[in-house]
This record gives sequence, structure tokens and C-alpha cells, in this order.
Amino acid sequence: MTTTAQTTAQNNAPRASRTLYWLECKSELLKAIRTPQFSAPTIAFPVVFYLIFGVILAGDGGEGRATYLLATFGMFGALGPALFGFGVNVANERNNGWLDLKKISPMPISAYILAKLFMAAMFGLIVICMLTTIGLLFGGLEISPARWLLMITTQLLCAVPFALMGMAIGFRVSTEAAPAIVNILFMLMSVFGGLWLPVTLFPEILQQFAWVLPTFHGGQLALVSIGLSSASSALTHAGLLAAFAAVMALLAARNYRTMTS
Amino acid sequence: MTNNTTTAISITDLHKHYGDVHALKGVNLNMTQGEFIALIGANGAGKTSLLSVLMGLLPQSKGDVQILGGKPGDMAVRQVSGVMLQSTALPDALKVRELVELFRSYYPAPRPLDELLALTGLGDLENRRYKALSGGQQRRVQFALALAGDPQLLFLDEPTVGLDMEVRREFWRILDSLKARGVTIILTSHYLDEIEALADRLVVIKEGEIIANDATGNIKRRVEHKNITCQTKLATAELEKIGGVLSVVQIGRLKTIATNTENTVLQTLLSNDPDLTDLMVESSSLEDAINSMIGSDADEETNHTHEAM
Repeated sequence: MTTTAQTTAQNNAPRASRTLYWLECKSELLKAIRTPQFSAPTIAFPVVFYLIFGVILAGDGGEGRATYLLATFGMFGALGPALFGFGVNVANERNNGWLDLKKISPMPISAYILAKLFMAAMFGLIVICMLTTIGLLFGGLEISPARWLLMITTQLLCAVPFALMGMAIGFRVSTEAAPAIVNILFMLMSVFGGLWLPVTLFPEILQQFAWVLPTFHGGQLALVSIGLSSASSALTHAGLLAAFAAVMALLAARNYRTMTS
Repeated sequence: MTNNTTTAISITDLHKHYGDVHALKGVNLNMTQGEFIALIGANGAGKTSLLSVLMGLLPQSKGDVQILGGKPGDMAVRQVSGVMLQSTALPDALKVRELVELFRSYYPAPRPLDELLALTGLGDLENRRYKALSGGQQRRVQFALALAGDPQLLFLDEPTVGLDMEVRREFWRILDSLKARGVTIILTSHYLDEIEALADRLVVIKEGEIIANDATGNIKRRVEHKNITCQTKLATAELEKIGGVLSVVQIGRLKTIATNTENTVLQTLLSNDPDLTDLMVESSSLEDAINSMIGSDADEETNHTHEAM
């Protein structure tokens, strides 16, 4: 009797935990989809900008351009939901008591973070699929399925450091300040990191400045994944992005420990 | 049964500092399982600090806290606790059912979903989005989340603030049913009718210290007296000289005399002023007692007691 009960309990534990993680991910995705203030800009911005820069303004040599910009605008589209999903949403939930309620409950904090990563990845996936469709239909984009898979994997992985940056912001700043801070960082880092236009079109000084931006390295890695040349070796860009991720992870952990609601 | 009580919460010499602010100054408190305690005090007295430490949201500065054999914030403790915070905004975009299901998934032995929805009166609202609910309905959802794990221990911080009387009474009925299940409950509330109806024990906290900790009835008896209100030509100073009079307060033309010996005071009063009118004798309420204890003078004008000098 006892053994049976124990075995059942043991068998139930992983299943219960799977249900918890699945429901947490599902809730996070539903929340994001049903909140137009979040879903509309994170999807519309990259799509509209890709249409403008990659298709409408392409002119001659548009094919190469559509491919190049799929890599960088895809990166832009992947990092948006990561930065906003953590930066703005965590700040909100920290200040309105929802995170407190969850911390008091037995929910593991890993479920909270994984669910937000899942949501950001799903949104990134949607944006990149839309960009690809636009490129194929109107931009003369040519890409093999294998390349495409490699590219999308790279872009989503490179979005993780921005999720950590969002976390560091969300665990620290007020609900009111978070959207402004995240918007400014998002736009400036994207433009000056060469996600809208190649940095080679910028003056020399801005080309050098791009090196301090994690968006630049993410964009370069996306270019490598699609088979185009990058400013430096993939390893250099990956190393610098990983260093940024490590700093943000430490900052996020520190801000989590010292956070106030 | 009576000797077989188990300790649910044991707090010894608990201190909490926020920078220079000494929010809790050596709190000692024990609760047995199944007990229902009301925690009261003026704003800033330390109620929220105490609850936050008990729920594991804030670390204590000094002292010892044991909850169901563990420490605040332990996973084993969180698995058997339920909480309603004073102000929480749940995600607007989620439906009632989705929210309750999510919280159920956090607990090892949750209450059945339909039972939770029925208990909190949310059965008809399960497919509504949280944002589309009224304030009272949102409070019910928060209550359903607190009960999702079928808790042994329930923290309720101002659960009925802003609710109308009907909803509050329904809420009391549910709390009664939980008490019957043996749930240990800590409630903070500004509604003293609520506290009188529900709590076994009152804990009064003032400036970070517990200044009273006794059965609700005992506290009431201890501070109980009668209020004699009338219109009389006798001056306040004369009234105060009558033996057994605790205090005299004049509001408009009416004077209110607080006393424990209302019979003799009434006799003296009537023989000195046979023409007095509008005579009324009332028992002081628990509210009067509490207000005089926590030093809340917000409603001094309608408060008929006045401590004798």
C-alpha cells in the first residue's frame, strides 16, 4: 500500500511539474497575444521597417538586400519581445503585486523566467516567419531551408542576452520608467548596431561605436548564419555577445536579490 | 482535543529594520493550528511588515519565526499556504479559469477547479477576462487563488476592503467554512464587525509592538462600559464630579457620559436634573475599544468614549 502510494506520488511529481511549466508558458503567451500594446508594436515594427528598407527602397540589387536585411531585421524582430517582455512586463508585475503573489506561492522562479523566454521566442518566430514570407514574395529572397533554420536558431539564441538585459531593468526600475528606458535602448541599439542598415554606410566613428553594442554582434552573427560576411570572426562576435550576456545575468541576479515591490 | 493543540506559528523576539526605521520591535506571538487571529493596528503600525516577514517576502532583521515546523519562504511552507495581498493586479488579459488553473498547478494537492469556482461564486464567470470583472469579482478571483492549494494556513491582508456588505457577508461564510476545515487564518482588517464576527483572538499592534493579545470577547469585556447620552442643564464639570463617571463629552446639545456604574450615575443624574431629555443608554462597541487602544482618533467626533484624564 505505502509503496504504491509513494510510487504514484513520485510518478506524479514530474507530471505535475510539466503541467506547471506548460501552463505558465501558455499563460504568458496568451497574455502577450491578448495585449495589443505589446503584440502590435513587437510584430508591426520589424515588418513595416523590413518592407520599407528591404523591399520598397531596394531598387537595383534588391535580392541581395532582402537577404542581408532578413538576417538583421530578423535579429531586430527577435530581440524586441525579449527586451519588452522582460523589461516592461517584469517591472509591471513587480510593482503591481503579481510577482509577490507568485513568489509567495510554490511556483519556482525558473518557471516565471522560462515562460517569458518561451513567449519571446514564439513572438520572435512569428516575426521572422512574416519577414521571410515578405522577402520571398516581394523581395526576391532566396534561402535554403537549412540556412533558414540555422539563421532563425541564431537569431533566437542571440535574443537571450537581451532578455537578461530586460530582466536587469525589470527587477529594478518603476512601472512608469520601464517603457521609456526599454524603448530608447531598443531603438538606439538597433539603429546604431546596424540592424536597420549596414554599419558600413555609417561614418567611421559610428562604425567603431557599433562594437560596444550587443545588437551589432547579434546582427553580425545572424549574417554569418545566412552565409554572408561579417565584420570580424563569428567567434569574436559570439564571445563579445556572451560577455554582455554574463554581465547582464549578474546584474539581473543582483537586482532580483535587492528588488523592492 | 484541548491539550492536543499543535503550534502553527511561533514568533520570538522578531525585529524588522528598514534603514533607520524600526518597524517591528520584538514581536512575540504564538498561534495554534486552526486558530483565527485578527491583526489590527493603525496604518504604519507594523501589520504589513509582520505579514511580509511571515510570508517570506522580507527577511527579518532579528529573532526567530517558525511556521508549521519550517521557516518563512520554505517550499514546504509555501505549498500549504494561501495568500490574499492588500493590493494585487492580476494579469488583465487572462480569463478567470486560466488564472485559477495556473495557480492550482503550483500546488501538490490543489482543490478541484470546479469546487474552487463554486466556493468563491465564480462559476458563471469562469470564461470572463479578469479586466472585465467588477472590483468585487476581482477580489473573489484573488480569493480563489489563495485557496487554490487547499491551504492549511491563510494570510488575508485587508481582504474585503471596498466591498459591499452583501459580498462581505458571503466572504465571512466562506471563512467560517475554512475554519471548520481546521485552516489557520491571519486576517488584517479595518472592519471591526468583521473581526468580531470571525476572529478567535485579537492581536493589536502599535508602533511595532504587540500591545494586546487576547480572546476577542476578553478584550471587549476589558474595555466595556456604558454610554449615557442626554440633554441636560448640568454642566460638564458637574457631571464629571459624579462618582463612577469615566468621562464626559459634549456634542452639540447632547452630553455623553461614559461609566461602568450606569445605575447609580443615572439616579444621581435624574435627581439633580429631573427635566433632562433625550436620554439614551448604550454599550460601548468593540470599535470604541480598539480605537482607544490603537490611538486612532480619525473618528473622534462620533466616538463616544473619551479616556478620563
